[in-house]
Amino acid sequence: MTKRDSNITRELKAISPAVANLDPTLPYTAPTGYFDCLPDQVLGRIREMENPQQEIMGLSPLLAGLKGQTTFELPEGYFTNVSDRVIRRAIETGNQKSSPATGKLVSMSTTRNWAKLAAAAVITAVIAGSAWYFTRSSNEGAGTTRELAAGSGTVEVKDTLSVSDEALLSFLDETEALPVDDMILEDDSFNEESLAILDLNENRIQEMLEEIPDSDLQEYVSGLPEEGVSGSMN
Amino acid sequence: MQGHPEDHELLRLFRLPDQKEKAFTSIIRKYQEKLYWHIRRLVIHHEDANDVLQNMFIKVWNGLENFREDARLYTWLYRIATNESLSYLEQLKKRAVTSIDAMPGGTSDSLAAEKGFDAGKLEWKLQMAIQQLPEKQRIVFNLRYYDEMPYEQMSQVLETSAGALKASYHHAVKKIEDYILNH
Repeated sequence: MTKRDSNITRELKAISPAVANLDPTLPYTAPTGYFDCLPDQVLGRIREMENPQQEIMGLSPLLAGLKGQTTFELPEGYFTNVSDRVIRRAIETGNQKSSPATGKLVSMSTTRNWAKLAAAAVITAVIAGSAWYFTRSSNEGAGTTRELAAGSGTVEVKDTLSVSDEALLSFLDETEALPVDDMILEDDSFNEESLAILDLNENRIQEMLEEIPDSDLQEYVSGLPEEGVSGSMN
Repeated sequence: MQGHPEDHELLRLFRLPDQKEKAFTSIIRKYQEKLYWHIRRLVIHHEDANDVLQNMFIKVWNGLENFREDARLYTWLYRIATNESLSYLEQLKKRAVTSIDAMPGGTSDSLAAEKGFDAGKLEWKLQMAIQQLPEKQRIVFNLRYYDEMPYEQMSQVLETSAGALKASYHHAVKKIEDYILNH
């Protein structure tokens, strides 16, 4: 450290003799040769700032080398005719503006919109009415109409809740009037053999019982309840 | 300063395009050490001082053409160096809030991290005492004690009256004495 200013030393002694006696030398140092290089370092940074190419060279030589390379291709002679093309197109556009427009016009008429809304309302009303009618009729026929084969004709049988007593009595009268054999014969599943069992009379039954041994009949009768046994077995 | 051209001559050369870089190199060489130590005493680490000093000289390059010669180049440079140092310290404080790597103790911890630090030695104790001072008193003490700057010049650097600077220096010295005697 160079010789200290006497005025400053005197002032310091007046304030604090202890501090005035301290060695003012700093305990830390600057790297060797630091001040020799500093002007060049500062000027180097300034040059980089003022010259972008030099700046990118300092930051990344790879990127600096890639800067001039173009990856996109251009049609040959693109820039030589570009001004002519732009002017021609500008003139064409100006002419188009002066002629009537050929594009589709969208009408903003409110009358047409009202007609569309009315048609939509009618269609909605029809669909809603149909749905209501269908639902109502389905509920009414919840018991459904069924057809019952009866003799040569068909009888409509409605749900018990909706069929009148007269209709039921009429149906029963008709079915009683028909002979059972006729009713069965209407069915194709019956044949001659199966019908033989129906042709029974007392003699035939007697004959059939005679063919059965007495011991078997006794065994059958003993297995029946008391009340159920009636008639004689011969 | 001895061996260096006068400031007005350097400024004249700086305004000549073909002499601009040469003149600026001379300005750096003339003031770099004083400005470096002024900054270093505030930010402590060399790397930080180097960043601040280089940024400061770049600002000088950009503003020197508009520099009015009614002010002294010396005080103007100190003013820029002081402002740059304080801005840098402010950034460090903000970083300390968000970063776990930052030193929470500020410049005192920076000092303790310096090579050769020994809290028992008087020269290091003086540096620790200076770091305890409020920012403004620290700057005033450094400029007066180390740079031996007259109050009139200091007044231009810090834009504070000479009387206020004297009082500030007085308080700073008393605090330093108190710290050294009690540690």
